[in-house]
Parts: sequence; C-alpha cells; structure tokens
Amino acid sequence: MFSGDAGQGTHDGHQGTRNGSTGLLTLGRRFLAATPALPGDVELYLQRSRTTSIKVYAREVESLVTGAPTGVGVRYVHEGRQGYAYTADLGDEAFRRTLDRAVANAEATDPDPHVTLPEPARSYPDVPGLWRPGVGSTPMERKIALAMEAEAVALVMRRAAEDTSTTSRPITSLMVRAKNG
Amino acid sequence: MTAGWGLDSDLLERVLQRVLRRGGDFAEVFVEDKSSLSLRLEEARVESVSSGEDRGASIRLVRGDRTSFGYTDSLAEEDLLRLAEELSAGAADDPGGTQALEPREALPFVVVQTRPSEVQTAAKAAVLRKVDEAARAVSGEIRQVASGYSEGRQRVQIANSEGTLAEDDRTRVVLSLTVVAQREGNIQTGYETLAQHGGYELIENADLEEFARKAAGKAITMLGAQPAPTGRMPVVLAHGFGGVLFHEACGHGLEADFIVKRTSIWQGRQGDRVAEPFVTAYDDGATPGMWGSAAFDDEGTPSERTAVVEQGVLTAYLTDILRGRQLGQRLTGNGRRQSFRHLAYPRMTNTYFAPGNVGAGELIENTPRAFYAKSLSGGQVDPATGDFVFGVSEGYLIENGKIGPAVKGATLIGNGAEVLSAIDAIANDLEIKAGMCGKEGQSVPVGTGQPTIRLRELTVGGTSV
Repeated sequence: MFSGDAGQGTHDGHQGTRNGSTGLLTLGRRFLAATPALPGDVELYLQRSRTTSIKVYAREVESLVTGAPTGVGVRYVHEGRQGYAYTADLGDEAFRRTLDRAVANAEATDPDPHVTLPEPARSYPDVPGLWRPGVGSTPMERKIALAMEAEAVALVMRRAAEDTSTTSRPITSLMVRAKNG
Repeated sequence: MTAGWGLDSDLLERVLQRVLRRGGDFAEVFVEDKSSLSLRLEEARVESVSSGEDRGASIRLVRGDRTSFGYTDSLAEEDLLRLAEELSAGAADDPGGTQALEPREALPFVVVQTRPSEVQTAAKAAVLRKVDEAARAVSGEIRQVASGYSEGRQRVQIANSEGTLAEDDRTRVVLSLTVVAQREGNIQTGYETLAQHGGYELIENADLEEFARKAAGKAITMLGAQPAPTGRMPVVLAHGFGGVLFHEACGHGLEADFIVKRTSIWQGRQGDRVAEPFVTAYDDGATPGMWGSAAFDDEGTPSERTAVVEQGVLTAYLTDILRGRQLGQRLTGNGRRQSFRHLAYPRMTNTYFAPGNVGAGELIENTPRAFYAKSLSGGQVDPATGDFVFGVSEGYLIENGKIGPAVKGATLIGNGAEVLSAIDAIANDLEIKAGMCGKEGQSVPVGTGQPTIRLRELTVGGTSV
C-alpha cells in the first residue's frame, strides 16, 4: 500500500506541484516496484521540502538558514505487528536497508489485532490554501525586508510599552520562517 | 577519509575555499552520520519499534555579524560545492583565507564494550518486558507502566577555515520507566532513567529489577502522602534529579548567547561572589560515560570541565566560537547542535555542584526541620530573571533530623541567584541524571545532577490549607 498514491488520478491539474516538481510519486512507485513480495502490508511516506529561516536582531540579519530535508519512512504491518524505519537517503540501497529494518522491527513487537493500515482513499480531497506558490518564488531580499519591517514595528511597540510599564524586556528578537520556500 | 565514513580532507578544504571565495570571516563544514533505534512498551505490550538513519552536511559562513547556513542530505562533492556557492553569494569580492586542515586527534574517549547494534532487537524488547513485570510486581496498586529504550550512534566530522579538523564517535543508550499507581481517586507517578554515553553494557550490568522497584516505589510512596506545607522554610534537594534546578534556573543564564544579548541575570557579574565559598559548580563535557559528554563539541572544540562557579565566585560563561569571540572569552567546548540541520549554540553538557565532605545522612541529621525534595518534575523558568517554579514529584518533611512523612503537590518557587546564595550545606553523594534540553527549537542530551544540598530558605508552595 502506498498512501501517497490514493486518488492521484483526480488531481492531474495539480501534478506540477504535487508530483512534477518533487518527483515523489514516481520515486515511491519505483521503491514499491523494488519491494519484494512480503506477507504483510507496506506503507511509504516520502518527503522532500525546502525551508528558509531568517532571524533578525537589532536591525541586522543574525542568521539565514536554508535547507532541503528529504526522507522516506516505511511502516510494515503483519498480523497486528507494526515496525517503522526511516532514512534521509532517497537512494535505492538505503530504501532497501530501511525496508528490511521495518520488517525486522515489526517482528520484535507484540501483536495488536486493531493495528492495520488504512484503506486507500477513493478520492483525494482538495484542500484549498495548503500550497502557496508565491512563498517559494518570493526573493530572499524581500523576505529579509519583511523580517526587518516586523522587527521595526515590534521595537516601536516596545518603546510605547516602556512609556507605561517598567516590566518590559530590553530585548526584541524576531524570526520569520517559511516552509517550502 | 580517516574514519571510513566521513569526507576526505581535500574535499573539505575545497568546500571551505568555495564558500569563502567572495569573502567571510569564518567558515565551517559539519558532517554527520547517525543511526538510531527505539522501542516503546505500554499496556504490557511492545507496541512500537522504530529505527532511523540520517546522513548529511551543513556549511556555515560568518561574515561580520551575519551567519549564513545551509544543509544538504547529500555528501556528494557537487552538492556540497553547489551549497557552498549559494552561501557565498551576495558578498563583495574579498576572499577569506582558509588554513590547511590539521586533524585534532581525540584520545579514546569512550570504550564501547557491547555495540548496541550487535544486540538483537528481541533482547531489548525482553528488557522492557522484564522492567514492566518487575514494576507491576511491586504492588497491586500499580495501574500503568510505560517503558522505553533508545540507542543512537552519531559520528561527526567538523572542519573549519581556521584549520580545525575533528572527528567524534558518540554512542548513547537510555532506558526509561514511568509507573502510575492509584488508590481510590488518588493517582501518583514514579519515574526513573538509566542512561550513559557508552554501549549496551549499561543494560547488561544493570540491576533491572531494582531499577523498576525504584520507579514503582516512588509512585506507591506518594499514594500515602499528606498535603504539603506552605511558606518559607529550609529545603533539602536530594542528589540526582535535584540538579535540574541548577540547570534551568542558573545554567541557561550562563550560556554566552544570553550574555551577548544582555538577557541574563549573570551578565557583567564575572568575578562576583554569588555563593558561599564552599560552593563550586561545573559544566563538564569531558568526563567519559556521562550522558552529555563528548570528545569535542559540535564545532570541534575539545570538551572540558569548566568551573562556572569556583569557591563561590562566578568564573566563566559557556561559549561557542561565535559568542566566545563576541565576548572576548575563551572557548569552553559548549558549541552544540541537534544535528547537521541546526546551527550551533552555547549549550550546557553535564552540570553539577562539586561534592562536599559530609554524607547525605549526616546532612539530614543536622537539619532540625526542612522540606525534602527528593525528585523534581517539570518546571518553568524565566531565563531573563532566573525566576522559577518547579513541581516536586517526591517530597517529604524532615523533622528533628529524620525523614518524616511524604507530602504531595508541593512546588518550589524562587530565583536562580537566590538559590545559589542560599546553599548552606553540600553532601558527598554526587549523582548525575540524564535528560534532553530544549533551546532554539533544538534538543540535545544533557546531564543534570548534584550531591544532596541544603538551602537556608526557599518558598514552598504547598497544598495544605
């Protein structure tokens, strides 16, 4: 069973964002094709993302962090026993090793008759607003400017608060995070 | 490729040169290879077994006060050079130099006698079943038992533009147990951990039944507890878990990023007397076997035992490379990070008070009346002020030099600086406990501990009305 596969046919219009740019469905199918016949069910959870985090302090960019974490998680369920394993390596050899570990891990658990994988969904729900392509295409300098502006506003508010209170903190640190961007 | 898994030093130098090609003050490559396994038992069933592997590298470029940092799950040369090129963008053409890498040889830091990965997973599941059964056998009032086992091996390689090339190989094993007991409407919890930077011999050499009895015993004892008293009174903090109070209420404020940003009560107080002359406190990342120890920190600085308070005087802050230089202070080996996906920050390793000369029994005998906090549960601390509230999961009253009745529902309320200056006795029974410390969204293993200590006075928030 491959959870990311369910109802994929109803979303051809989104292929550009859901598969075309990430290639995860293709990769998932390749992994499944390479999976030997097993007595239990296999679920793959693939992830590939881009992340940007800008930290502004005292009107300067203190840190700018970018990364592209990837990975595949494998869940194996057989007769009520389930095992998990994951790897950050999307190569074929690492996948095979991870699958073997998930199977071995399941064998070390005690069975629970209620444990089972969900049935594949007949249709994949379209949830609007989850994907905002504009975030990824926003230039880095614009993101930095946004963080700077937000800090400036916070500093003004702090000064206003200090006029009426003696308990405010002498520090303002601000962080802007963007996933998939 | 010195350890058979990391990057070749020539490639590391090329990556450092590439990231500095348009200028920069400092550059670093951090390479990590990590594998882990965890098992969890609940309701007398091993219900989850999970394993993982993570491998990747990050590059850091410091230019003035700005840090640019990126990471990749790939160790391929083209991916590393591409990342270095991206990070170098945006600077004026003023290439920063790199020095030839000089390996820092670590002495054999921890000898792993039994490599955890060579022990069958079924044997680890059997350990969880054994502690589960032993805890349930303590009393018919035990209602729930949850136990967990985790092992991890983290190999790191750190190279920087100042010539550092360090490698470290860290294996950690931890067993934890939570026991819930119930008597009518009263529910109490007992908790124990067994952990070390080392191999599976920790489990092989442990008295697992005694371990389970300790956790179950705490829960059962607290079922018969009376409401806790309220008010200012002397407080004895037991060894082991009591050290979390120093970690939270004092230790974080000694981390140099808080000092740089002037958000610590300890800022500007180096050289000040903060405690009685018999009080010395350490951050110690260099003692083999301790949970938070390592040969090097995550910037390649050798670990050390740093006296943060020496004979009552505040002597040192805990630094990483960036903040150490900003403060003009020496490096203490406290630049730590959760993984290659995270920036290094000043973090504690293992913190504890140096032991005194008297036995814990003698210290208690010499205490006419006090609140005795044997185990602390969670707490809250304001790092800017050191103000804290901690829950006491196992507490007693000391009356006429003897440990008296158990009391429940107590909280300790105070301030980190106040606690340090209020220590009036330290016993010789140092014990370090293992935990995970969260900061900047990162979790790292830390040891917290202490010998039994007595505070002249502290506010106890009780439940007695």
